[in-house]
Order: sequence, then C-alpha cells, then structure tokens
Amino acid sequence: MPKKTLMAGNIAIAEGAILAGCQAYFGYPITPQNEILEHMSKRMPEEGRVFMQTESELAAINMVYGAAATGYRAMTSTSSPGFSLEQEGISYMSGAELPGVIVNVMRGGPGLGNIGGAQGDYFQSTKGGGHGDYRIINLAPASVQEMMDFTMLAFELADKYRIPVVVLADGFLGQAMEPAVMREPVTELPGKAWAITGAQGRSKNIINSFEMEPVNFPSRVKLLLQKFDKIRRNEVRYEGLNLDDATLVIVAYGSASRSALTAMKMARQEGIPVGLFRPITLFPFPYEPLSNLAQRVNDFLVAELSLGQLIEDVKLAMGVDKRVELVNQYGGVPLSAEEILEAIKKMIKQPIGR
Amino acid sequence: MTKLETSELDTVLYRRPESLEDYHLHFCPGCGHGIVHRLIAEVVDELNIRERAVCVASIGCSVNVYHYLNFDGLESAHGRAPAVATAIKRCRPHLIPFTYQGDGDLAAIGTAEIVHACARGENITTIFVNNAIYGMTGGQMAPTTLIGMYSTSTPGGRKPPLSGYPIRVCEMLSTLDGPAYIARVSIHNPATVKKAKQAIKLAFRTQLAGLGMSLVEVLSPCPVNWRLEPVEALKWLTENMLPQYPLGEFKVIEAVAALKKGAGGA
Amino acid sequence: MHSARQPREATQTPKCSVDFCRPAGGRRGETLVAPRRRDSAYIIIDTERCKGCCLCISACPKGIIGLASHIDQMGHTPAAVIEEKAHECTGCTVCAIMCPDTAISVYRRAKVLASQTRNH
Repeated sequence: MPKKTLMAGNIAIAEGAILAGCQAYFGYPITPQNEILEHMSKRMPEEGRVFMQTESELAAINMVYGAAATGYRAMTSTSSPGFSLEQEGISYMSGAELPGVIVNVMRGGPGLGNIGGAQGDYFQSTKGGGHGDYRIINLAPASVQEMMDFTMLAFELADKYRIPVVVLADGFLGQAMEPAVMREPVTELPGKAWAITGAQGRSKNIINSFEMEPVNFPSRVKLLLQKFDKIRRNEVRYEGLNLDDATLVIVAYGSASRSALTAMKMARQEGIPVGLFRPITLFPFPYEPLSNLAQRVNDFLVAELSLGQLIEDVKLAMGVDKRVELVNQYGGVPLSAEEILEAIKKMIKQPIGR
Repeated sequence: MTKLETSELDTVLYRRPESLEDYHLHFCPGCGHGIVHRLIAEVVDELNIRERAVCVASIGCSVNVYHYLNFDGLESAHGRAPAVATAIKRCRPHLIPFTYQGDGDLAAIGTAEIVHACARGENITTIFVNNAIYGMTGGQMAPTTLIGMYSTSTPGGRKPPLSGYPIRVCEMLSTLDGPAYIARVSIHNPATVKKAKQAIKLAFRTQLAGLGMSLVEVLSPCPVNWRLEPVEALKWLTENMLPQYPLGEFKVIEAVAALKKGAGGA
Repeated sequence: MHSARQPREATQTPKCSVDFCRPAGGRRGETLVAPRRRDSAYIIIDTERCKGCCLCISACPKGIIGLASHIDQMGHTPAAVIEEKAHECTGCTVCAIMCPDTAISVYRRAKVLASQTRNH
C-alpha cells in the first residue's frame, strides 16, 4: 500500500514537477500560488537543479523559453494577472515549438481582482490568450493527487508534442490539504536533437518562430495545425460519473467539479438521476464524448467559477435542442453544493422545450 | 582593368571569418550591424568558442542575426533576450550565450530584463547596438534618440517636455554591483572599429572566465533613417552622438582588469 | 548642437557628398582586382556583395578605391580599385575593417612569384 502524505495542492504541484524531472523552475510571487515558488526555492537546489525568482512573469516565461530551448524540462507557475503577462511568451513558445509547463492557479479577475479561487481564465487558456494561431494543452486537476499527477503528465505531453502545457488549477485547490501518494520519479527523459546545446560536431541549431517572407509562413502554421489535430485525436481525457441512467448531467472541472460531485450525491439521495461529466483536458476539449452523451441526455447544467466560459464549449458540443444552463460564482467566491442542487431542482421543475 | 588570378601562396591579410556565414547581408548600405556581426564572428573564431557560443537574437533590424552567424542561435521576444540568455547560462553553464540587442529592444521594452540580468551579475554578455533610432520599423524615436533629432515620430525634432531625455545605458547600469565589465565603443573609423573588437573580445573573455555580466554598447550609424549618406552618417555620429554618449569603460572589476593585462591581452 | 534634419524632398536628386570619389572603371559583373606587382598587397572586392556605401573609399589612406562605372541589379554602384593607384595598396586592411558587408578580402603577393610577374 503506497504511503499517503497530507499535503497542500500547491506543494503537490511542486513535488510533481520534481518527480517528473523538471530541471529548471522560474517564478515570480503572486497569491495564491506563492507556496509553489517557496517550495521550489528549497527543493530545486536540494536536487541540484535550477531555481530562480525572476523580476516579473514576463521574465519568468522568457526564461522558461530559454531553458526549454536548451532541451531542459522547464516550468513556471503563476496566477491570473501573471498569466496575462505570460501570454506573449506562450505564443512565442508555441510558434517556436518549445515544450514547457505553465501552472496557472486561477484567482478572481478581471484586473487585479481577488486572491480567492476562480475559473475566469478558461477562454484565455484554452482559446489562446496570446496572439496568432495556436493551441496549448490544458489539464484541469480536481484534487491534490491530480495536482501532482497532472503536473507530471504535463511534462510528458509537452515533450511528446513540443508544445506548452498549462496546468489550470484554482486558488481553492492550491490551498486544499488532502492525502496524496508520492509517485515514482521519472528516470528517463526524451532526447532532443533540435535543442541549443552548442554546435559541437553538428551544424547549428536555430530556434525561432519568425518567417520574413509571408509566403513561407503558412506551411509552418500548417505543421502546427496538424499537431493540434493529432492532439485532439489522441489526448482527450475526461471523467464520467453516474452517466448511464442520468437525465441531467452537471458539467464542471476543477474545484467546481468537487462541489458538483457533492451536489450529484445529494440529488441522488433525493431520487434525482444526476450524473457528472468532468473534462480533464480543456484542450483538447472532449467535444465528442459530450456530444455522444447528449444523444440520450437533454439537460446539462454547467457549474463553473466564472461568468460563463466553459458553458460555451458545452453548447458547442451539442445541438440546439439541448438545454444547457449555468450555475456559477465568480470573483473569487466558491460555489457550494447547495447552490448547484438548487439549480438542479429549478431546472427539472421547468418543462423542457423553448 | 586586368583580371587576375590569386595564388594560394599569397598571404591572406584579411578574409571573412569562419563563423560568419557566406550570405549577402540584408542591411542597408553603410549600416553598422554588418561590422558588428563580423566583429563577433572574428572574436568567436579567435577565442575558439564556436561550439559553445549561442546567439540570442532580439527584435529589430538584427532579428535574423542567427542566420548570419555559424553557431547555435535563437529568437527572443522584444526586450526579453537577457532573460532567455540567463536561463540558457543557468541551465547549461558551459555554453556562451550572448544577447544582440538594439536600442529599442534594450532601452525601451527591455529595461527590466537588462537591469535585472546586470543586478544579478549573470555570467552572460550583451552586445548593445545603439543607433539612436528605431531602424526596423522605419525611423521612430528611440530611448536613445538625441534632443532635437528628427525621427518619424518626432518630426519637429525630439523635445523634452513631450518626449523626455535620452538614456545613457552604460552609465546607468554601471551603478549596479552585478556587472563585471561595461564599455561603450564606436565603429565610425578603423581605429574605433579595432577598439570595439577589443572590447567585445574582453566581454567574451569575461564570460569565459566566469567573472560576471559584460555589456558592450556600440555606437552605430543608421544612414537610411538618419537620412544621410553612409560616410556623412559616420561624421554625424562623431559630431552628435559622441558628446551625448562618451566612449570609454564604465565598469571594470579588478579581475577583468587583470584579464586585460594578462597574457593574450584584450 | 544636434540640428533637426528634415527628410529629403523626393524630387531632389541625391548627390554623393563625398568629393574624393573617382570613377574606377570595370564592366558589369566583373570582380575588380588590383594587378600584381612585386611584393604588393592587393584587395579583392566582391562587387555582388558591395552596396556602394563608400566607407572603404573614405577609409583608404592611399585613396586607391573608387566607384565602378556600372550600377548593379539592386541599384548599388559598387566600389572598385582605381587601376593606376592599385600598386599603392599597403595591405593595411582598413577597407576590409570598415566594410559592413565583408565584401573585401586583402592579400599580400607571395614573394616566390615576384620573379614570374608578367608586365601589365
């Protein structure tokens, strides 16, 4: 029986990164993820790896770019305002096809917002908050164990596809304390012949995202698009609970899915057949599984900690004859199971149809 | 004119350095970048560090510098080159990363990154090409544009109440404890070009010896955007830029001074 | 003081302000070189690289470089060695040092061939 340790979500991310062989961490303090920076400042030097507190998130993402260019597994962590600053760097990494892990422990926004947990960066993270045609893989943990596991998965997918990967968590998960199993450390890292390691015994390597002649650029973007299609085909992940007999399905990720889980159990106790569909990859979004589900389920309730962002993807997945409602909180305030249950009850009371 | 063959027995007094690729440069006639690219290639060859050198390009006319240099290179976002070079050096300390930045990249958007790389005393090198104008985008005001100087965004000449004052980067950065070697040079005549090469070589030697941050600012002409013939542009540089940006060494720590005096010289 | 410099009117014909230029001859496409003399240094200008910026002309202490009599495809008038002055080249290399396009290579004739020089 593997040993379980009580730890905070933020610490699980940090330890997960170290287990995954993260060789360089660059970060800047911002609540509610300071624990990641502080923990890494102690642990990375212990492991003989690179740690730096940078002068800004702008510098941090560009250092991830530089470290990734040398072939190192590199990571940064931040929260929503810092994530905005990192968009340019993420666009550059996508264009240059550099792997890297960016942890965004979301907080209330827009602007300086609030230090409470939220899910208001969904659009920014999954639709591309930076400029240009690109996508980045988004993993959404919903427990402290998943904070660790998905950070490890993030490094693996980043290297597999030469793409930035976001671990999209929120402030509640970052602070939550739960028992988690320490996974086995990754011992073998993939080789990277394209990396900047000094032109010894080979011709020079160049890493860039720029094409002076416009006519040459579309073919470059096309290669990216082919990569995204491959990711869409192969890397979709989600979790379904009690879907077989459900007549109403809650769709939620992250902290909101924890409240939704409790709401589902409460509803079941009252005899309402509710299921839970939890996307794990927000990109590639599980459109197909959701759309299949919509063949036999007519009522969907999206529970999220934002004004309504995930709901747009849910609506996209299904036809116009499905009812998709929203129950939400925003600005850093948590969503309770009771609020979700109330919304469920309200929804089933209303007759179906427009 | 009589056409003539050269003999292999003839002594080569000057030829394109190995680390400079055999491509035609895209720069405007008389642009200083061509000279600086070549000096870096010469220094890399003389120090025999081609297999360790990494060129971190920046945004500006020099965005393609890695195409012209025959060793590893990469692009960086506007102003961020010192951060990228920092990570490269911290991750793989045997590499010799250097940033190649213009006055817009380093002194406008990149002020935070260069200040902090210097403050940390990162063991990297920065080659800062200062032509007091934004070249790539067509001649707008730069942080180093002189007072009264014409630019497309200061058509009546730069005026302080509206556009502030030019920044003296070397003077500013030399107040920090981190840098090991900061120098300002020029390339307006053969003597200054030779001195520029010496400074660049000393900067790379500073990094090789692990002594800390080195930065060389190179005053350079931009004939097209200064709206001057190349030879006139060099004259304008000596008359107008040298008083504002005096040449010299602004920070030389003891260890670097010893390096300069030691065997091999600068 | 730094006077504001206004952009040139489009109708004005740009004139080279360098008054020491002399036409050096040479036909289109030819790489112009100095003829050999005993122990002399000589330069080779790659006219396809040369953009006619005149920095080498300005730098040469002997004034052996001028402008060619043709314009290349990019609209540049490349630099070229003035034939009657070519023998004065001392191999100081300042022309190559000032060239932004690395268009100039500088050589010194091998002594062993000095006796085999044909008269030009």
